Amino acid sequence: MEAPPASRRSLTANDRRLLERLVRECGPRLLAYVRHVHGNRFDAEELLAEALCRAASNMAALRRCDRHDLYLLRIVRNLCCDGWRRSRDLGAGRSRPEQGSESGPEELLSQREQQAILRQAVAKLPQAQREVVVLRLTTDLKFEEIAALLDVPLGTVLSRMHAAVRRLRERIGCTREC
Amino acid sequence: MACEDRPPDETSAELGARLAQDPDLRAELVQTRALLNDLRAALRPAPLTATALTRIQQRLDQLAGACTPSGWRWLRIVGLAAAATVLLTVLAPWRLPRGAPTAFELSGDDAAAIVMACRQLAWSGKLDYDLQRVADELDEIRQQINQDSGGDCRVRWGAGNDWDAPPDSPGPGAMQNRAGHRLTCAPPFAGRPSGTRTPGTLRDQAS
Repeated sequence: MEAPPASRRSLTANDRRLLERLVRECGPRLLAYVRHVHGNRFDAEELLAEALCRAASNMAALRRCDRHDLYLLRIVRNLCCDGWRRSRDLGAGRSRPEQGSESGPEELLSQREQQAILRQAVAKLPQAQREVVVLRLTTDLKFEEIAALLDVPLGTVLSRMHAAVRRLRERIGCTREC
Repeated sequence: MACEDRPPDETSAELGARLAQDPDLRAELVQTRALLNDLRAALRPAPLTATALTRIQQRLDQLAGACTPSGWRWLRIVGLAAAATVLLTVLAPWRLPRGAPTAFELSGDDAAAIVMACRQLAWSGKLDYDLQRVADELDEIRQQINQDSGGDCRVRWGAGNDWDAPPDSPGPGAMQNRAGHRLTCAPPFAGRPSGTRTPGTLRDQAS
């Protein structure tokens, strides 16, 4: 993680309360985003803490924005992208997101295992499609908001979602039928 | 289609018409929605664990610690405190609280200057106050001092010399020069009901 900016102003009690509220409200979704999109490449909790520290370094901007979840999500995503870029530059191998445990056919019917299969299927999607699926299903963002966050056209987001659903249906259908 | 997980009421009329006509498409839509619901459940965010909360809390605490005043800021605070202390120390004697031992010396020239200033203010008519009487009283004191010590005296004028106290009160109400002579004087507003003012007294006299 990078060192926090030096030009920080002191946190007031109100700032602290706002940050703690954001941890409660957005923390789980942000962690889910990191884990499902980027797997165990990052320490998701540390990354969330770092994102909050970065947000705290510019409390004025955080207070100004009307969508705190999007603001934090953008920071988290930037941190992840920086991490990806650094590890790629260092020549590290890519790691897939949490894939769940491989299980025998007799356990596939249980809900827990079924969810593991679904997570596994999501983890095997290409990064761009996976990100759209996770953002749509875990953070409940609108497609327009996802497009703004990813800085791509709306059509691209819809196309990625469509391709991801088609792949997932193929994969899940195959798994269920097999 | 990408928007398949939207509720039916959000789908367009055109899509509704196609769904009504095509049972395969309808079945596909139902399957896709079921899949997305399952996915949503599988990817549902888990609540933050106590460990995660503690770690985040620690980072925020570190951040708050890093935000304590820097060296320059501390220096500025200490400098301001020192300046305030010096200022209070210098100005404290001028407050002249009752019973305090501090005093300042008033020379005959100082008294004359005060008399002049009071007279000028009274004559200018800017102040709605009976300064003429104050000036007269001060002038009388100054003359008395000059008589006692040939004009070279300094009056101890401190908290113990409450010349504005009533003349019949024991102790205060008198001034004392260095020779030890008590200089009794009437208070400037003696003989007049307190709180009354005589605006324009001097102007009336002048006219």
